[in-house]
Amino acid sequence: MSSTPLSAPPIAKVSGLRFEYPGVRALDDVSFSLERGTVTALVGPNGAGKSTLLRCVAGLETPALGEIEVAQIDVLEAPRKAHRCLGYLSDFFGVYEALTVRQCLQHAGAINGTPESELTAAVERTARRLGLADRLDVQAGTLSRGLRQRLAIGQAIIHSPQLVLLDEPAAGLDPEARHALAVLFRELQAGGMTLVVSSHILAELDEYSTHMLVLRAGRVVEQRELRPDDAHHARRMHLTLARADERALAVLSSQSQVSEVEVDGAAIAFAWQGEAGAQAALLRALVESGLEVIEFGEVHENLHDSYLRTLAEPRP
Amino acid sequence: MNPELRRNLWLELSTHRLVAMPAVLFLVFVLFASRNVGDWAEIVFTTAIGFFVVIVHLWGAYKAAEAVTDEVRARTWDWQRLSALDPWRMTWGKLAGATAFTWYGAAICMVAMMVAAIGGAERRSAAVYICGLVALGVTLQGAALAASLQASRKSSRLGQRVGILIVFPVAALALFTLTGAQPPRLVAIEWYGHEFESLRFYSALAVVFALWAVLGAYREMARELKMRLLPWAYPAFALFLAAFIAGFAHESIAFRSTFALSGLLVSLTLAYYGIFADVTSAMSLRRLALHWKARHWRRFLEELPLWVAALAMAFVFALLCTQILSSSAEAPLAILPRSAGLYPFAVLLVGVRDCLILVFFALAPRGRGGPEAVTLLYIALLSWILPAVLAIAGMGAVAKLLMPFGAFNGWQAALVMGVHVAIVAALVAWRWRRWDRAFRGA
Repeated sequence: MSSTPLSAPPIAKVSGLRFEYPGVRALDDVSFSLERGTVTALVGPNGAGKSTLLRCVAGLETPALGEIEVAQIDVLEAPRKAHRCLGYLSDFFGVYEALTVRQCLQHAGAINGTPESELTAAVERTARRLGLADRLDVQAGTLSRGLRQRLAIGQAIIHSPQLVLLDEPAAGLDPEARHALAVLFRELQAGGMTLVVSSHILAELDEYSTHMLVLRAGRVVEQRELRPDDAHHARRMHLTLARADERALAVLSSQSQVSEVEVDGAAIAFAWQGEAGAQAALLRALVESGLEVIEFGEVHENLHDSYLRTLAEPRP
Repeated sequence: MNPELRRNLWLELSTHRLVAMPAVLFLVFVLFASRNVGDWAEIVFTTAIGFFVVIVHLWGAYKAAEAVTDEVRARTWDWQRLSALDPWRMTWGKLAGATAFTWYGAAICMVAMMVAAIGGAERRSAAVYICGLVALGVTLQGAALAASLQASRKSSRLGQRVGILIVFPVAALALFTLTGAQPPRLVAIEWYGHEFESLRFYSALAVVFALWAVLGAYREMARELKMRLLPWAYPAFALFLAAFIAGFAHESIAFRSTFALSGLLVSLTLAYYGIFADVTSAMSLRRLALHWKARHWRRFLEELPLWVAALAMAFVFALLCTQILSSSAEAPLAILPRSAGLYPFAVLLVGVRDCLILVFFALAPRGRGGPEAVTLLYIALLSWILPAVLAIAGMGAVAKLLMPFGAFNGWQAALVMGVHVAIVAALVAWRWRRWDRAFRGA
C-alpha cells in the first residue's frame, strides 16, 4: 500500500473499520486515508464491501468497530457536523418527484448548511455545472434517467463539500452522459474537491481517477496512485531495440535511477525514478552507445490492468 | 425557515388545496346549521369538533406516520439522513410540515368552534376544550412520527406496524375520555388529594402527553440520524406514568404501593413494546458485545435495546413492591397473601424470559423478516395456549409449571420462572457461541 504525503492532513481517515452482517464480515480491519484533491476509484468484486464502506464513511451505517474522520471530524461522534463537509450519492437514490429541479436543489443546499443568502446563487451555479440550467422549473419526476442522475449529483455537491462519495454514479447512463460525468468529475477535482467513485466500469474510472483503492472480501488489498507524475515515484519504462544487444544492459546498469531490469530479447523493461532531463540523457546515452533504439517511453498501466494485476496476486 | 418545513409546505399547500379546504368546510357547516337554524351554534360547534377529530387526529396522525415511510419508499430518506440539520429541526419540520394541510383545516374548524361559542355561557370551557383537542392532536401526530421512525428500521411486517397498532387504540381511548369530559358533562377528578375539573385535567394531561410524544419523536429522529443518546427516556416515562397513576390513590398509605405496582406494570408494558418496536438483531447484539469487550461503556449504553432500559426500571419497581409486601400490608398490594412476597419478581422474570426468547430468535440464522412474529407466537404458546391445553387435558400440575401464578406462593412462582429464564438463557448462550465461532472464522 502506498503512503500519502503528509504535507496536508488527509481529507478522510479510516482506521480499523469492521462491519458485520449476519455470518459475514463485510468490512474487516479496513484502514486508509485519502489525500485532498484526489479522485479515488473504489474497485473490487461484487460483495467486496464497497457500498458498505461508502455508507460507513458517510455516517449512514454504524460499524461494529473502528474510527472514521472526514475533514478531521469524527463521523461517528458528530455525524451532522461531518455531513457539512461531505456529499454522498447512493447507488439506489430517489429524488423528490413532485418538486421542481430548483426546489430539489434549494432543499438539498439548505439542509446541508448553505446559508439562505447564498442559496439562489448555489442553485444556479450547480444547475449550470450539471447542464440543468434550462430545466430548473421542470418537475423532477418528469426527468430522464440521465438527468435525474445529474440532479442527484447536484444535490450531493451543491453545498461544495470537501469530500464527495459516489456509488455507481454512471450506472444506466449512455456513453455521452458518462463522458459528461467524467468531465464534471475532473472539474470538481480541479475545483479542490476530493472524490471517491465506486464503479464496475473501469474504463470510465480510468478517465478521471488519480488513485485506486481495491477492496476484496472486506479488506483493502491495495491503495496506490495510478499515474504518479513526479520524479519521486518509480515509473515503469520500456525500451525496444531493432535487435537484441547486450550493451543495453550495461548502459542501463550504469544509471543509478534504473532498477528492476527485465530483458526479453530486444524488448527491455525497467523501473525508472528520475526527472525528464535525466530521461533524455538516458536516451542519448543509449543511442550514443550504438544501440538501435526504435521505442523508448513510459509504460502506462491503465486501471483495468492494475486492478486485474492486484486481484491476481495471492490473498494475504 | 426550517428547510424541511419549507419542503413540506411546497408539497402540502398548493393554491388549489388552500382554496378547496375552506370552501368544503364552509359548505358542510352551512349544510349542518341549516338543518336546525334555531340551534345552529350547537350544531356548528359539534360538527366542527367532529371534523377537527377526523382531520387532525386521524388524517394528521396518518400523515405524520407516512412522513418518514414515504421517504424510505421513495429512496429519498438517505438525503435527509445525510443532511446537516439537527434532529430537533428535522423533527419539528416534519411534524409541522407533513401535517400542515391538516392543521390548516383544523384552524378553520377552530374558527367555526369559536364563532359558535361566542355568546355562549361555556366560552371558557370551550377554549380549554379546544386546547385539549389541539394537544391531543400533537400527541397523536408526535407518537405516530416516532412509531413510523421505529418502523422504518424494522425488517418484519409486524415490527413495522406495531407502533401504529398501539398508537391508534390509545388515541381512541384518549379521544373518548376527552370528548366525554366536554361541557356539560364535567365531573371532578381527585388527583394527589386535589380536585380538578375533568375537562381542565384531561386538557392539561393532553398537553403533558404532547410534550412526551414530541420528545419521543425527537429521540427516534436523533437515533435515525445516528446521534448518540443515553437510554434515559423510557425509564423516565415509566417513572412519570407510575407517579401519574399513583396520584389517583385515595389514601396516602396506598400511594407507595400504587406507585410501585403501576411502575412495575408500566415498565413491563414498555419492555414488551420495546421488544416489537425496537431493533434487536444479531448484529446489534454483536455490536453490544464488542463494546462490552472493548470497555466502551458509553457506547454500550447508547446502543442498548429499549427493552433493556425498561426491564432495568421494572427491576427497581419489583424491588420496591417486594419491600412493601414484606414490610406492610398496603392496599392495593394488601389483597395478596404475605407468601406472595416474590410475586413481583416472578412477574418481572416473565418479562425477562420473553425478552430472552426474542434474543434467541434474533440470533437465528437469517430468515424471512424479523424475530418479532415468532417471538409473539412462542410467548402466546408458553403463557396461554399450552397452559390452557394442559389444564383441559387434566394435566393441571404441568400447566402450573408453565404459568405458576396463583398456584404457588411468590417464592415458588419466582423459582419456576427463574428456571424458565435459565433454560432460555442457556439456549441464547448456545446460539451466541455458534455466532461467535462463525465470526471468528469469518
